[in-house]
Amino acid sequence: MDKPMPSVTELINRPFRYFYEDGLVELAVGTLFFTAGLAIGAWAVTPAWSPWRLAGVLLMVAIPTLGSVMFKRLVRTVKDRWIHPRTGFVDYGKPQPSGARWVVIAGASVLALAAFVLPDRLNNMAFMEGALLGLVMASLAFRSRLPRYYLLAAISALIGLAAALWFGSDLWGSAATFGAIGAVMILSGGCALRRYLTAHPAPKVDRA
Amino acid sequence: MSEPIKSLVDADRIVHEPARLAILALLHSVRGADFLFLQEETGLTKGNLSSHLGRLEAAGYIDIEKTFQGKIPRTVCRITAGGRRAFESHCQALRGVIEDRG
Repeated sequence: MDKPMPSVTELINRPFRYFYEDGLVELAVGTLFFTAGLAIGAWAVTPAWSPWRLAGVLLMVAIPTLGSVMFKRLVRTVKDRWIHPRTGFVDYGKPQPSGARWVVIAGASVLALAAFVLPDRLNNMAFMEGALLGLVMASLAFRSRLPRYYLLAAISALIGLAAALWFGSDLWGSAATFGAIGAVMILSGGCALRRYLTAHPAPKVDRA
Repeated sequence: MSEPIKSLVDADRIVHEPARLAILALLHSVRGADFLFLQEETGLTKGNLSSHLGRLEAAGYIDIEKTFQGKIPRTVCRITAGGRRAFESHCQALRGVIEDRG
């Protein structure tokens, strides 16, 4: 029997939501952020010119470059194995620019200008990072219509604020911000993935 | 009869059918999607979806490509330029009717 059809507007937006629904992107990005937090923390505790600090610096360079490429491939592979056989495959092609990026750019600009007027305790990297990540997640929440991203946005901003107020140094504040946000995203992504796989059981395969 | 209403009455019947409109809406913002995704999202039965995809392909609004992902067959549907134009034109006509009613 046919199920009731969603509206045209919902359907146009549906493929975008589908990409984020299973929690895999959160898991991947959360792991990258958590690793970045560890790398920054390692940088903060190790003496200058020690091998550990060098390793931390290399890791911080590798994470946004190689890390994002590796994780993109990993997400695609896991989606091919676990998600596409359950709920289907979408070829997204090149990402289309959207108006949301202007919101994020505007927000980042406001934060940069706010650095001139914020009190000293908030005028540090942790607060800016938490606020910017919160803005990016709020933008994703708006486009994907996934409520949990609004929660992640609020948590990110709060973590940034807490880290700014708690830690005296930019390094420790950033390490705590990225580490904590990463951990929250791993937890959120893991729960979302588990819920998704439970709601959409794997198709039965005929083994002849 | 007002112009917006007239444009809706003269609407492309291929696009206007709700199931086919839904399929084109799903394909509109991506490069392609497979049969299973379209079935899950539209809630149509396999036979019903196949029939609608056949109509859309015959009208030149989508291309259907049968490939393999490893050993698993995969049917991928992609909207054509003509299909995109037809869908956007139909959405424009619908918007015109709603705005005309105020």
